[in-house]
Amino acid sequence: MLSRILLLALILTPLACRSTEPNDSPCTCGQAAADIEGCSHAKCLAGQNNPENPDCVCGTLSLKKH
Amino acid sequence: MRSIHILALSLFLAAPLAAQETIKLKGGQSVTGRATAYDAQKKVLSFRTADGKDVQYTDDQLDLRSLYQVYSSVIPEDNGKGQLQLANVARDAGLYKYAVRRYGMAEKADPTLKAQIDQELIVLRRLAADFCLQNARAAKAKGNRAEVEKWCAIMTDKLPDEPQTAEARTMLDQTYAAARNAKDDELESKHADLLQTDLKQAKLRYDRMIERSKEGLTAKSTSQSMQLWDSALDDGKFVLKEIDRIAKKYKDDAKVQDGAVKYRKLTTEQMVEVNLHLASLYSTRSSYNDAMKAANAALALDPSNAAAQAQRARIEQASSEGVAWRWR
Repeated sequence: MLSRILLLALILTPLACRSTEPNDSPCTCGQAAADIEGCSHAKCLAGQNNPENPDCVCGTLSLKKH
Repeated sequence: MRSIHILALSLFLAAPLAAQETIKLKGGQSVTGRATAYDAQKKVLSFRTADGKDVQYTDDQLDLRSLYQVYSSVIPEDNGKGQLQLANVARDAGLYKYAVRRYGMAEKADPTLKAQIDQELIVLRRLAADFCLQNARAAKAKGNRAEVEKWCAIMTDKLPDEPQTAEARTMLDQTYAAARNAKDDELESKHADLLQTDLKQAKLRYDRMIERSKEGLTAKSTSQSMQLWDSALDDGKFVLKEIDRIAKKYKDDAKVQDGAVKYRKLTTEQMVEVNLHLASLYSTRSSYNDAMKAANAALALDPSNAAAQAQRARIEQASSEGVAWRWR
């Protein structure tokens, strides 16, 4: 049974994991310079929110457009 | 029944589950969880907290930056008036770059809004100039010359016609050349003989490059800035050639070789900086091809330069969106 649980967990993990992709530019959202220059983190540039930075204002929340 | 248990346990093990979202309330409190709905009529956000509680927040309870995120989540990009409203929220939240982008989207979605957008941009430029000047003054008070320069340069690149930028130009005038001259003081004393002979011409052009870089930043018109920076880059290219020539001539002289490395680094840094000013200026005018050329020129000089990489990425984004990120 344990092996089936682990197997299923292994299959589901990539679906759940949304860690930030490796990127040279750090997420600078929340810093004064980003307010005026913008943030060049890969997620921000792709129009996504970076959940690792609570100050990130890029992308959208999980809400439907009206 | 057993399989349901297995599935539930598996889902638990597959944590971290869907990414958490963070919103901020007025007063600074952060709430983590997941936004579930937004009622545009009542202006109420429904949110499930990380510990499973369902809560609701009105627009008035949200920090302006979080409100911007809520609005950007629900307003479609082809809704011109909605984008205009969103741009105003971004601007009032101090998210100036984001506001500029949203004004661009509003204009793209509904060109008839242009006159209104122009009026809103006047307010944006004033607020942004205040914000930059405040940062420049704070950096000056702390004696942080690099930060003073950064904020003043942002103002001259993006907000050249704002009254506050006159003060930024004065600050730059006082600090720019002094900061750069300090960088090569040690080299000057170490290689005084070479600078009087083989490198005499290169030194003159190096000093002129610094002077023109500064004049470009403090110039009152963008066309003048561009001319001065182009000319500064010509000087830089000449200096690099001269350094190569001297390095070849004295290839067995360790002291000259060391000096050549250091002077090349100083010159390259300055040329990268000038190229980034040009890129910024072109971006501000939505001339993305020219901006990209300048950013690429900076990267050709220093491929690992983080500022140049970030600049290029931002230009690519602006260009691919087909939205004019115009500050004026």
